[in-house]
Amino acid sequence: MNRWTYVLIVLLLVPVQTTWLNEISLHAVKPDLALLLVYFTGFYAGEINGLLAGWVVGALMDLFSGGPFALKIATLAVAGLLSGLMGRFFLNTTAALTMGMVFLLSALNGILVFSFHQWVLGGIEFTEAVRWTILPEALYNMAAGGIVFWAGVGRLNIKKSRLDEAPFQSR
Amino acid sequence: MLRQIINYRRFIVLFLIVLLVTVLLFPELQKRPIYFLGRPVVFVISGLQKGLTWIGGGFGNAWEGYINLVSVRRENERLKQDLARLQNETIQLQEAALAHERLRELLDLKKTAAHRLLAAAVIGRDPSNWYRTLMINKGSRDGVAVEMGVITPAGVVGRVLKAGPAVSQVLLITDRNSAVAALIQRTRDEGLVEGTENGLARIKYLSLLADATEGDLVLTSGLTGSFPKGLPIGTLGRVTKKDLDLFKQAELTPRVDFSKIEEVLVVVSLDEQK
Repeated sequence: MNRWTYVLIVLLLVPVQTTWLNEISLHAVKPDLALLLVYFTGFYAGEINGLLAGWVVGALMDLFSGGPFALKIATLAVAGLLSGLMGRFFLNTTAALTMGMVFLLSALNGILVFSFHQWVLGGIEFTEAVRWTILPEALYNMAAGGIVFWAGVGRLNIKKSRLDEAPFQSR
Repeated sequence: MLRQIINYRRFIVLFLIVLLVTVLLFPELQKRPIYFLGRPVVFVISGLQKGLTWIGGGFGNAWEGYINLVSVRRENERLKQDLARLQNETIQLQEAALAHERLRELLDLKKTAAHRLLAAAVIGRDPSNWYRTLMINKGSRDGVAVEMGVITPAGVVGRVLKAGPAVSQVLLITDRNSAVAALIQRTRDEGLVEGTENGLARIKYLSLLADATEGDLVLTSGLTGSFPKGLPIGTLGRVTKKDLDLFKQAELTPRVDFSKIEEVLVVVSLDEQK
């Protein structure tokens, strides 16, 4: 993918996430496009790029979020790193595998956010958090991940970068 | 001789036909048996009739609908375009009417309220599923500051969490980190309204002696600096008390539908406006 296209996607991410995506929210839960972008970046471009993408996208999200600054940076950077490490095990992927990995990553991301809240503020019941936020979000992200894979990655024929070549080179 | 025979046979045939017609004309023979014999014939013929009528009609329709009406397609296209344009205009007019109604309500509230209010438009919502916030198009340049209350004509929305120069972020009362001092209108019992995991709210720290029941209206108590006293927050749901708890708590259904807010009013100052 062209570097400038990627930058454009990153810049459009927050406006889309904060406006249009509310139209498709179910019980106030919507897909997390930032997590999807970080997952695909990490999986296809390696853990370092995933980590960097998580940092940048997380910072943008934190600016517009009601949570403490750097929470999204931390959780998305971890997500980018993990998706990159997961990507090392697969040469290529399918929609089903993508959905499964996005589900796991989203659930882990949710548990990290919950742990942070519990540590800083406390008073949140884990079962309630799973029921109302973590699980619905993971399921929604899983579905959105499948759609993104089917509509974007699969059709655009984006290949995983090899370890010895720099990803996101401008062409 | 042959001619005589032919004439004779003609005469017989003619006679038989007349006789048959005469017999058939008899009222007694108009009844069922003969009619019953005609049914199969009628069935076959009528089937053919229908078939031919259908073919003829189809051809006629095809002629009139597809071949002979060359201009109809163009007219249809034009009418479709007109319809789409008019539908679009209708939607825009409906939107304008709805916006006018909402803004009129906001203006009424702004005029009648005892405190200074600033109107703002909602431009976005929280990107995360963990927080319930809104972005509004007014910031510190317009006089918005952190902790100011945000309301609509329906009731309390939340408080300003961050105030940038041109935009601000509002923490909704349904966020789990939000807390607003409240009282129950009927019983005057005080409590604290906070958000829940499922995007609703609850009122906590109600006295054990509180006589609060489902359907009671909950208002701001004015104890927190953001809101004047008496603004509606929501209606009480189920009131509960766990064993060993020192207080009661109750579910709360906010008066404001947070998924549909488009404009809000920021309580800039609790001082009475001149």
